[in-house]
Amino acid sequence: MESLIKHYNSLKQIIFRIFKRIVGQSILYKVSGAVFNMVDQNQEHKSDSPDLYEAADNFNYVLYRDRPEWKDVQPIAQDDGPARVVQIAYSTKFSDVYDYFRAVLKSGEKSLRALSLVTDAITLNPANYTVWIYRLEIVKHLKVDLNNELEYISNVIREFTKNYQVWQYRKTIVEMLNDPSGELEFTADILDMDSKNYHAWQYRQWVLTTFSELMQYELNFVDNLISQDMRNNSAWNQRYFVINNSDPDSDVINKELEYTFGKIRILSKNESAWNYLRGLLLYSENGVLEDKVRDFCSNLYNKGNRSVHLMSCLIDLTDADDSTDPENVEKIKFALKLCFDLASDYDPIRRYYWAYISKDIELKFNFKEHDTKIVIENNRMN
Amino acid sequence: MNKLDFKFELHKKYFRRSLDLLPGESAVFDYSRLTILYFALIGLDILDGLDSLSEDRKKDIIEWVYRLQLVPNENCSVHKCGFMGSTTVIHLKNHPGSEKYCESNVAMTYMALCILITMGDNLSRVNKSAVLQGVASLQKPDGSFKSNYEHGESDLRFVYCSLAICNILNDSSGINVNNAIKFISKCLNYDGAFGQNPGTESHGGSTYCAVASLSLLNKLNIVLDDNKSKILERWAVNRQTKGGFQGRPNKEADTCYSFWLGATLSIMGSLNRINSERNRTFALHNANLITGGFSKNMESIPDPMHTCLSLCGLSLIGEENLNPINPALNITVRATNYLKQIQADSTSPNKNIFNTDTDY
Repeated sequence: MESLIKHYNSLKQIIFRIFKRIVGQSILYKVSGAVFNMVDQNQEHKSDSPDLYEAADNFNYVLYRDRPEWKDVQPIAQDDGPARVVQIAYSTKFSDVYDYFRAVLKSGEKSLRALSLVTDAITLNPANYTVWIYRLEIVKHLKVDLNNELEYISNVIREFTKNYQVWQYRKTIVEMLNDPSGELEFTADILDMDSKNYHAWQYRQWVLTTFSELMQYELNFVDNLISQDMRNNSAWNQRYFVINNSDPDSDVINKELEYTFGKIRILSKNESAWNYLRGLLLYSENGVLEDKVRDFCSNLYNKGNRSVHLMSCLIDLTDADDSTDPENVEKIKFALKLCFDLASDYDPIRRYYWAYISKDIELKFNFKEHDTKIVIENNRMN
Repeated sequence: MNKLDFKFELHKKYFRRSLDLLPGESAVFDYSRLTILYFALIGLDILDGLDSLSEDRKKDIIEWVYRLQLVPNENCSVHKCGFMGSTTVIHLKNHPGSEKYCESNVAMTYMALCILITMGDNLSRVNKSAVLQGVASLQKPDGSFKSNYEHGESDLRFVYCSLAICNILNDSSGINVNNAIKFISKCLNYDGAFGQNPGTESHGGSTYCAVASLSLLNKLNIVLDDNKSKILERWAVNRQTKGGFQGRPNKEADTCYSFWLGATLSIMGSLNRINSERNRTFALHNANLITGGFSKNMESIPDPMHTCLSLCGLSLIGEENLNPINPALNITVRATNYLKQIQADSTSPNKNIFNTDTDY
């Protein structure tokens, strides 16, 4: 029996090597478990899963404690101490994998079988960052081809797109490879699944900052995303990130202003574009941009547009103007009327806010007498 | 039955169940079980339900948390000290050469301290100096903090946790406060709110972390002058959509943002500018009347985090019979007062309550 197992194990190694040569290691990680476990099934197999679905899912899965090639390892159960607090009803598979992971972590074994165990541990709980730390150590120790590791982490990210650890691990691998050539395409793929995935955007910004030669393609990418969905706030933020990093001159800013005006004309209720406009004003010198924005807003308003953000912007432009010349009195009256209209008709959910802004303007300009005072019932908080 | 009635007992039961046993699907929280404990206990405290736990149970909880503490010894250097989030690799505690894998996490340390205070523990067994040195070793040259020492990621979340720990232990002498403030300022975006890292999109969660951090440091007005405060306030009130709050412009509302943005506005003194009634209605519509607990939206099932943060949000807007919370530390005002008492006791002469050399 012993020689049979030995024979079986060496056969396994040979198949593993052939496989590796043909398909590359990363697929092997995924496939090897399935293939060898199917073979392992013919060995002594006992399943005591408490969950029918789990049993069905894992038909071909053999617990580590039943795998002959792990017989030499003594699993270590989780030591939760005497108190039973926030216990988790772990599946048999979970406990089994982590019992062996604990043992491997303690012995420090860095082998192919440990790598395969770690792969299972990650699949069961990718949020366990210690498993990732250990994986990296095994990868370094075995000198695993990092390109295969990159392919592996790509597959894991596709499955767990919103997990922090998976992106952190990718970053480490790409840093070690010092090759970002596939990164923009990869993050674009993930953003194609969810164009507002915060993790993907944050990672993409890291790529662009670390490998700055890639920045030149980014505005095109952002353009496409905004065209697909003008309400994609993440894309607008990325636009600002690109422009802001390019040390823009007034030509660039003016072009951006026109671009944003264009998008607002199409969809004036889009807060993302208005926020971007506010961001461009940070580049204004001597009020030049404010004048352009004021003209644009007045024009829209006079055409009958009553977008909440348009009205907010007009109020802000008045509020920012501290001059006391008589012409300003009309502007203040207008701003107070806008607050009134917002509170009563266009943005009633924020009526307490607009009442406050209205009062703030009254106080600032000492302007107590007007016929657009906002009267509100008592807010719960007041 | 009025759907908008508040079901105190039902929600207390929900938390008590979470304190005992979680279903197998919760295995993805295996490495951060402490967070579930935190949400359940803070939530119970808001519901004034801690009395429903027996004294033995409370003792069990305190002992379980203290077991997660790593203290300095020959197998654990001081920069790994603090609390772990779970017992997953606790077998490596004091095992030679294992400190790489058995290390604290700053979010877990923050939550552990909050739990202990909430449970009425006086932190006497917290190795204060080791925790503070552990936090200090996580600070990066740019002023931000990492989550944990080995390959930990860094962003505003861990800046907040680090500063909250220093605040609770009443000592920020080990960290570079100015650099931390600089980092927070760099996360301020063109739209007036904060992203998780410099350049990343403004987000309700990271905005809370920034504002709460600055408030704990008493430096809110340094980073946010009147004009910037006004713009941030606009951004925050604009997040209220269809009653509840969204985390970013043009996203769906989610109950947890009633806390992240509610607390932000509360710290800034502007919470009375939101529509509280509609915020309340949104939260209560997402309460589950069979199992108890709150979900993030109508399409989800309740979880401890959204339940706790929904209650925090409701408490902030003055829901009747809920205990008030301290928005900057996210523990109840009751627990905060107890903390102040511990802090006062520890600074009085001959009474060093923060024991610095107990190897628990």
